[in-house]
Amino acid sequence: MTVILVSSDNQDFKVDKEVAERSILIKNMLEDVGESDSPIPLPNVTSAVLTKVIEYCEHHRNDPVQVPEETDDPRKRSNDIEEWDMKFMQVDQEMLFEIILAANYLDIKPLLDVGCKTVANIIKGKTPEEIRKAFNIVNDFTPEEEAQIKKENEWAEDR
Amino acid sequence: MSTNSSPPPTPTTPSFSPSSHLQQRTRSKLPAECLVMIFSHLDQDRSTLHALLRVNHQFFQLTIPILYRSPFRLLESRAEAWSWSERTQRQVHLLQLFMHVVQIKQIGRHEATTAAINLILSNKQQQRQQRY
Repeated sequence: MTVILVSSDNQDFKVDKEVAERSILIKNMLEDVGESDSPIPLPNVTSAVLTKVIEYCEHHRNDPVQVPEETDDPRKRSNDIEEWDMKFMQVDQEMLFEIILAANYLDIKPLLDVGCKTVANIIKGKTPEEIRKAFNIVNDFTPEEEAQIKKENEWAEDR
Repeated sequence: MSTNSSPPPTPTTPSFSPSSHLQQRTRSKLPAECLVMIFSHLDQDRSTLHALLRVNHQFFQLTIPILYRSPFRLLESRAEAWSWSERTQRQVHLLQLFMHVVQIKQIGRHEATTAAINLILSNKQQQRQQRY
């Protein structure tokens, strides 16, 4: 069985139900609606991003459903991105953020995790200014606030 | 009609601000919940967490709970190539910070107690006045 997903720019994507249901949002929608051929509008996702998301879901269509409990062992977390996912995430930063937003909206936990890990790896070891540039944000601290933060967190600073 | 039809923005205009807003790209803003997920992957990385604190107010708010979840463990991390004295100095800084915070809290509590006592006294006084 297939379902039709409609991107924000009105493009239709015909995908297997099994693939679409990697998204918990869509899975719940389909369960609520029941048997229906009506297309599912995704007003928050552009066709470019949806193409990527579907590619991910196709690849992971047979993955076992992720157990919600997270490993508490910090060494087991972070950086451990499997090879295909790593390649899949090699996109420009704009697209990377868009994928994270879409995964969050569509409720695709493993994709969200991989996206967040990828961004974490990008900002690892960067200076505040480099991080601001990456996120396109400005410094809104007053010099006094900066001084206070520096003083209070002296134990953690790089020297 | 208007003679001074607005001139097109010249890309050659020099920008004074160091953080040039000329290249304002429409970069998607990640919601706080996603930022927290990203920062949580760095919870063993003291150096990057410290950098995140200094980015802006929002990043500060989101990073503080992660940095202070187990700060002494961060200082004990083998990943840090510190000398014994360096490590100890940092632990002392951290302890001093905590003691400072406790002091502030105690002062606050003292003031609250005084205020409460004053309030009770003034209430009693009022009651007494009402009685007579």
